[in-house]
Amino acid sequence: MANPSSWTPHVEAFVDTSRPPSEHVASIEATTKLVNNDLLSLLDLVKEMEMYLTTSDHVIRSRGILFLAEVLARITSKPLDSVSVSCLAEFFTSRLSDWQALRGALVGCLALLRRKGSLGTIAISNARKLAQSFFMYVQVQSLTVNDRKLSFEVLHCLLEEYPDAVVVLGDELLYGICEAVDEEKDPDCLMLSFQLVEIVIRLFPDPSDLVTRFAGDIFEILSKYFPVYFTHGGGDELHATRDDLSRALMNAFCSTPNFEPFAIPLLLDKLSSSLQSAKLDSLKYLTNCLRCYGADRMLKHSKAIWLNLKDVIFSFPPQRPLVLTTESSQDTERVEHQIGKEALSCLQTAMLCLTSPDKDVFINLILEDEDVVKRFGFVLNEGYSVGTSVDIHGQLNALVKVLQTLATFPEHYSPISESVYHDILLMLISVVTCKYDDVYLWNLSLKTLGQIGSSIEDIHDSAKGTIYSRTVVERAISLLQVDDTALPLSLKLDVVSEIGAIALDPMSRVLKALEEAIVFHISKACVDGRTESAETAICLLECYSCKLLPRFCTLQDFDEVLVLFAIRLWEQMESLVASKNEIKVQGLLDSLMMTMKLLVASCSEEQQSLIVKRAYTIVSAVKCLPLQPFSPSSKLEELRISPGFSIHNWLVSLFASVVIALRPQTTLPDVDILLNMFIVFLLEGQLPAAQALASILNKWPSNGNISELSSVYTFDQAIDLVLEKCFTVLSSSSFLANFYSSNDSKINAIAGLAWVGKGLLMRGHEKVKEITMFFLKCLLSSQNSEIMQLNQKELDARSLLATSAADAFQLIMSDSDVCLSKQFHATTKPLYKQRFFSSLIPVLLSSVKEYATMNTNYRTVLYRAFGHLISNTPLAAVVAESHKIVPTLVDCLGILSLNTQNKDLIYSLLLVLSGILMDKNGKEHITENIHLVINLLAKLVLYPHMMLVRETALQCLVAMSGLPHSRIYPMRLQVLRAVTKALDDKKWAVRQEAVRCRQAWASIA
Amino acid sequence: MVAELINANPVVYERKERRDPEHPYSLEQLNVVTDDAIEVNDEKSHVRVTFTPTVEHCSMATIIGLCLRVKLIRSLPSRYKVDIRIAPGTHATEATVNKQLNDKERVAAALENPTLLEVIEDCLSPTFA
Repeated sequence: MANPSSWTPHVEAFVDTSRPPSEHVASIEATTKLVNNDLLSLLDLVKEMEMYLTTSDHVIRSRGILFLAEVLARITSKPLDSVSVSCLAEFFTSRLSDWQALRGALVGCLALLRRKGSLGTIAISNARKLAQSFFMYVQVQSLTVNDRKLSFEVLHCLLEEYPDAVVVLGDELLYGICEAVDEEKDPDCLMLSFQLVEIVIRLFPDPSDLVTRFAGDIFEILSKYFPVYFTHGGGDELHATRDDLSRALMNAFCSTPNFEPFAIPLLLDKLSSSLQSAKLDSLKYLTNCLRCYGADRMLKHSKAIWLNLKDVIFSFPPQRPLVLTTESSQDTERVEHQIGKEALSCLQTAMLCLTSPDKDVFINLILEDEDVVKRFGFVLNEGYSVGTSVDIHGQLNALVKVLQTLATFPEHYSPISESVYHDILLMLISVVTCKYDDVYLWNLSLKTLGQIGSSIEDIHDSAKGTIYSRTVVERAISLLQVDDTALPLSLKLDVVSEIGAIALDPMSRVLKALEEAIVFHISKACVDGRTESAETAICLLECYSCKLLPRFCTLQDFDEVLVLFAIRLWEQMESLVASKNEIKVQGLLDSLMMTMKLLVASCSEEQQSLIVKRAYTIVSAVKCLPLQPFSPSSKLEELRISPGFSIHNWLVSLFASVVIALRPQTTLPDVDILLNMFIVFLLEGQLPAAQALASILNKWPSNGNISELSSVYTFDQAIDLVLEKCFTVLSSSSFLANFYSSNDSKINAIAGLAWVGKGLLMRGHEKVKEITMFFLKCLLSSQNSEIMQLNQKELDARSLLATSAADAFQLIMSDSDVCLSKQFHATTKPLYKQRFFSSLIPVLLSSVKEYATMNTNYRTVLYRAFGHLISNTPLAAVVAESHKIVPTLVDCLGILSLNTQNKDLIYSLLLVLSGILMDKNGKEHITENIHLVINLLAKLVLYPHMMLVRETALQCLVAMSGLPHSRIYPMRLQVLRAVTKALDDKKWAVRQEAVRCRQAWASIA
Repeated sequence: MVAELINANPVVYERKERRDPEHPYSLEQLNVVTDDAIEVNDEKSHVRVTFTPTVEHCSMATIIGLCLRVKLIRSLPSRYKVDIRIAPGTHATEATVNKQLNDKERVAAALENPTLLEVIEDCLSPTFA
């Protein structure tokens, strides 16, 4: 046991208020240590301190009690026997009446109440006495902030830890708490008092007479704080924020349904407040109260709630307005946006909660509300001026959202009856079919219908599904069948694609209807020769293939429907051939081909075989097509087709589209005959035939198992035959002689050969070299000295041939979406472009060097080929070779810029140049050729034919201002002169770029 | 029509971020320069900017005017004649400042001064970003 003399100085030090606070703390710490180490027992301490604890000098007494309490508060983890605890409890309870020494008593009580189970806790009876004494003597609201906080903490602890002790106090407890919290103003204390109210009410099980009696009084205290408004400095994390307070108050509001008669009128009243934060809070509280108070109590407020909510929803659109100007207005917009959102969620809760077994009171209120009806009627019947303010759009949006919310409940929980559901759908679909002049409402309604549709779980087997498909799907489909509705075709197609997209069943029905319409219009267009029918058919086909088909394929794989449609189209072709009508609209063929390709591409192999067989039967039944096996000896003249009906071209093109879209494993009938036919048409300049040929070669099985494909040729033989035929014809003198005079078909023949080359290149076949060599020969043929004697016409023909050959490189290198794409199952070897680039670039560069002295006209074609090659190769590959190509690239741009028709190529090459500029190694190679590059860019800055070229050239110059100073400084004046001219450009974007560029180069001085 | 085009975007646009050295706001925000205060005549290659200093004794009026002139010289084709004035009656030493701003030699001399040039570059740098 420690000698009293060892610790009494600590007590003296603490009691002496003139000493600094740090010394006070130190003395408590020291004493605590003694007690914790069992050097001093608590009872001894109390005994020795008796004089301090009982003296009539209230300063010393209060300090003494506080000392004891502080020590007690610091030994929470030390076990105490029940006698000591009971003694101390009695002591501190009695001191609660001593207002001058109250602080110590509160701290002591709190310390005792907070002790945990096994370490010696206060007995129930003591706790009850403590509570009674507290309510009798402590006037919480007359205390300082700190003491008030302590008092609330004591109450909090009592309620949380010793509910049994206090609950029997009944009236006394509730009254005491009311008195304690009334008129509280400090935020932290308020947090505690709101929680106190919540806890104390929950102590009494509902229903309780006591709470019912007190509800009015308690709510009167609480209601003073609503809505929470205080300007307490933010940022201080230790203190309660407005949001914390608001939430705590909300929980207190929701603690008992007995508050309902007081709370709901208050909330509804504040809902119409002009203060936006009050509105927002009211909505949040209302939402929660709806949940907590229960339908029985809330039903009688239904009407008032709906009326108030309606006002809010109509005046605060939940969607964000488009234009936000300043920061403050942005803030208001945000709050308004929140209010709108909160109002809708409140409405949703109300609809969920306010139901009674016999009728949907709330829903009926909404549906019977004149305003809603009027607004819809307003929109539906009278119409309002199109493009009105955001306000009306917001209201409409809210209205439609409400309808959507109502209609998308899961069937079992649906708040609305089937007839109401039907009415909603009817209303929306009638907007969709009739009110198309109001774009906003129309789109909104259509989207909503789509979403309601997607929310139906099972369209076959549920009441909602049946109603939906009867009301909406059928109506949408009938749009396609009736010709005379005023709704424009494009909108009709929007409707069917939106409705079709929701599920498989509506999709199948829409597809079926669309199919009928397509067949009908095609036959009209072809048999009766009606152009408007052809145009309709084109739109329908586009919708079918671009919008519905991709969606359909995600819903169902390899459906029979597609095969049947493809075969049906073929049968229609057959009947057209029989009728021998001329078909004039080329656009229709293009759409048909695209649809056919997409149809075939999304079929399985077996289905594809079916389609091919059917199509082949129809094609081979036509007499005048060149349908004999291909033989090396047959001459072109024999192969020549008679310039027959355009329907034959149609047939071949359509058949080519089937072949283009086949999977590699699909079997083709009579490959030798097909090859022959496609070659003939290729040489006639039919691009689809060339694409089909390329596709066949590209997908030819490489594993040697060729028997199934062709009994006549191996793959290599087939290629050899194709190439030989093409080369012979294309380089024959008769071909050349006719080249210039005839129409596009010769140029197309060259392009056709390029397609074949592309097919081979993509599968990585080496024979592509022969084709590129042929093109190179064509390129250079215009420059052979032997042809100098030729007349002008022949020269022109040669140069046109060379240009076509140059453009063939673009075709070979670029990606296409009509053929040889992933969608159409092309065989693609990785990095084939890079490979082609690196094998061809040395050849081209050496040719460029060789012909460097020639007339620029001749070099143009060579550079054109070079340009196509470079601009279609992935940038990384080009940048890696930049040391070789920068000078040529610059020269190329310079020469191409002399001619207007190369502007797109120039732009893409300039992008390559800027790509090189952005690369670290590329920069070096640019720096090495800086004179050339600057000279070129200075010219391109004024390139008259394309704004993008001027702008990009200026951007390149800006980028070049970052190159090493010593290298660019000499160019400065030249650049500034060029850029000054660009300041006067007729396009704003260029002028702006010029200002930047000028600044960048002016500041390197 | 061309005059309208020029007036409709670039010149005004370029003025957007001009800083008054004493205030962290751009001149547009302070209403020192507004769209209406800029007259462009493309045919005669003439631009006139009338600016309004924030207060009558604004010591920065000359600097603001100088910034405007430098920005315009750098942004417009050389054929333009630029005329910069203080709005009548908005500044105590209006006549003097106007004279300074439109005197070629004085402007050139001012731009020779490295400290002054640095201030101007500082003001203008955000507009070239």
